[in-house]
Amino acid sequence: MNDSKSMARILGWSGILPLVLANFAFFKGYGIVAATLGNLYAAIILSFLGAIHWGLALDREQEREAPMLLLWSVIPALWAFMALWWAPPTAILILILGFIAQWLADWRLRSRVQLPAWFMPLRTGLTTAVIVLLALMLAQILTGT
Amino acid sequence: MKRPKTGTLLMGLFLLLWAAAMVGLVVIGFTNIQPAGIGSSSSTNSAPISQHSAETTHDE
Repeated sequence: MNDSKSMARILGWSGILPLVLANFAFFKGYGIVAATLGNLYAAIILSFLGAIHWGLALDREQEREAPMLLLWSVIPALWAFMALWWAPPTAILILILGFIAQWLADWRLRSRVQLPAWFMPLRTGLTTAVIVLLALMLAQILTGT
Repeated sequence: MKRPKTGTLLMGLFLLLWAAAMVGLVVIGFTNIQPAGIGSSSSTNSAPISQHSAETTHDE
């Protein structure tokens, strides 16, 4: 529990649970409430992921990549905010694109910034789970389950 | 043709999203338009989305 890898895994995977619950709630008939809450949660998580880059920039004030890290860090939050303006199916598609873009931005970081060895495998697993769950919600909405 | 720098593209995306957010907030502030993703007062029930639009029709 004391090492950062275990803590990141516990917090990361427990962060997936609300999206599982939102899918289950939709399946049980909570319709638009479940879809909207799921999308709000996903938007907040996307904003949180962008802030990783802000945090890295704080530690690299004098380095060349710091301005780009700061610039990227706010884009996922604005993207997620914009997604919430749309009806749930469109919002889910916009959010999925945002999660893919954020994963690509993190992937590019590997060559520029020294990251913990567990970071990218965990990010890949969590992003895959989020995209699958959002896609499942979208499928439920479109099929009217 | 010179390829635009990543930084320029990111700054453009940032300005676009920021401007859209500001315009959206002003529109909400001065009109009764509600974003579809937030839902209207009639959408706070638990009906599935597919049934939600059907609820607006009246049974005689």
